[in-house]
Amino acid sequence: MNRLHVAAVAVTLALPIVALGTMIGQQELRLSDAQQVNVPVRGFDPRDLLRGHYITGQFDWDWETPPDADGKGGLCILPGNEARPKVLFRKDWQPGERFDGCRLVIAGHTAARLSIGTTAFVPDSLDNDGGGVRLYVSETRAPELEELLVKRPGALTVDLAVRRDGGVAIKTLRVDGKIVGR
Amino acid sequence: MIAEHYARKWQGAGLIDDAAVERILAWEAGRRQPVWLWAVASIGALAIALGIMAIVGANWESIPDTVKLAADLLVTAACAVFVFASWRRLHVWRREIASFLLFALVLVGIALIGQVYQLQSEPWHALALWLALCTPFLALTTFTRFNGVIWGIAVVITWFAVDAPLHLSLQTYLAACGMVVVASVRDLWPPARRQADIMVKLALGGMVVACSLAATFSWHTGDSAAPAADIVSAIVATAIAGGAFWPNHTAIERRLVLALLGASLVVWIAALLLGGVESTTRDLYRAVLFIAYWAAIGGFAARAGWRGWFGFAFTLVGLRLLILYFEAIGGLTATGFGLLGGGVLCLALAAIGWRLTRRVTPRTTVVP
Repeated sequence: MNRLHVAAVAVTLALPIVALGTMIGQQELRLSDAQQVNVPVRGFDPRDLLRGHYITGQFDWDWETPPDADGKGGLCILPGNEARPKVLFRKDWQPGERFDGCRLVIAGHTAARLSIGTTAFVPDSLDNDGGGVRLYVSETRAPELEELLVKRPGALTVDLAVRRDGGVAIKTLRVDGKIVGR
Repeated sequence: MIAEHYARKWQGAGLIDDAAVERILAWEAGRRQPVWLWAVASIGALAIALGIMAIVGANWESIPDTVKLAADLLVTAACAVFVFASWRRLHVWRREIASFLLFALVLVGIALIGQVYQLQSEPWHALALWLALCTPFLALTTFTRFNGVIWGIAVVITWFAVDAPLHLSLQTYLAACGMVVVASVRDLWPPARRQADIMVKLALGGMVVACSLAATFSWHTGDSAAPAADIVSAIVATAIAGGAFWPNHTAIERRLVLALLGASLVVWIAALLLGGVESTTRDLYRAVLFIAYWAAIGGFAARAGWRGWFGFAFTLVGLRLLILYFEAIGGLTATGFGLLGGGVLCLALAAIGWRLTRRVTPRTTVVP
């Protein structure tokens, strides 16, 4: 059991703790360096799927002009005081690129196939492989929220923390404006 | 009690004398543990653990996220310190159990961070991160078969969770080859030999299961007409597995493992090619392939002196023959004569199996 061996074991044991701490720090940094926007969530058409402790849903954007094609790009959150801000989509927008007239820009992609009658926009950093967004909810609250999604569309909203590069993190979940989960 | 039963039995058969029986019983008495007291203490500890979990679970929503994250990090760090202390003081079981707990706690930590910050990603990303963080300390601090098997299961689950563009049969085959390579590398470090031994056994078992299923169902590839890429991948993976196993093993171990790898490769490729064959006799080919594979395994087991495995291989061959017989007559209850014939076939197979198994020389050398 030489010094090198002891040091190697100590380093390998410290690695997971340092990594977990770094992950927490990174997430806190992402949230602190971001601006906030509140967006309603609705069920994932044609069903509201509740799998485990997750609700699978999609964001209900208020389109100024609906996008005419699927693709990657940026979602412009227009200035305004409305509870549900108007949005615009520009195909092929790249992070760092200027998008005049926007309060915030979210990097992501549109997917018309996810939604009937309207187009879904999914932020890249929240895409759960297929265009949906998973929201963690507690087991006791899950049935109530699932019912809420169906009966009162728009009641469940999320605060999105939007960074300068277009990356997004879910900050809080709200029902009728009241925080129900982070 | 069990030791005394067998000691008296062997004494009665004249295998050991009275003095040996007394020595065995005295030795066993010296090692006797208060099993019932341990059981009661374990139940108590389990009840306390469940109680804490229930209280935390019931109040989960009321606990602030920062408290959850801080508590998780603290417990994980305390466990890591305990592993380190146990490792330095050479407390084997404390070290192994604490390492296992730390392995679990890191996964819990990743899941908790994902939950608190609503992170979105494929499950295999989290699993891969978990393995990347834990494999180094597990490699240096754990040497028991238990932790080797747990790590192996975690790797296999992660591998199958990956959304790779591979069909299941190839993914299974590559997993088995990969695990042979990992176990062979692990075997290079003397303290980890027992762990490597169980890992290579499980990997070879996985390969046998993969090939048996491939032979039974003739899994189709994405493009059954041109499975060349899959075949090349399997050949390369088998060659790497064989090459990794070669050093540090005896001649008999090499012969057996390489023969099994070779037979598995041939059967897997044949099964893959059969998947693209549209023929009324395909079921017959598949049965023949399965029987040939298990006959080969039985042959390897006989050469190694593994009576149990020889008997198992013979039983599978017999069962497949029986199924083939019933397939040929058109169903289990098609005719009373069919059932009579099936019964006779079973008895004949059992008699042949009994004679052949008794001819197998019992194992005298240690082989994987």
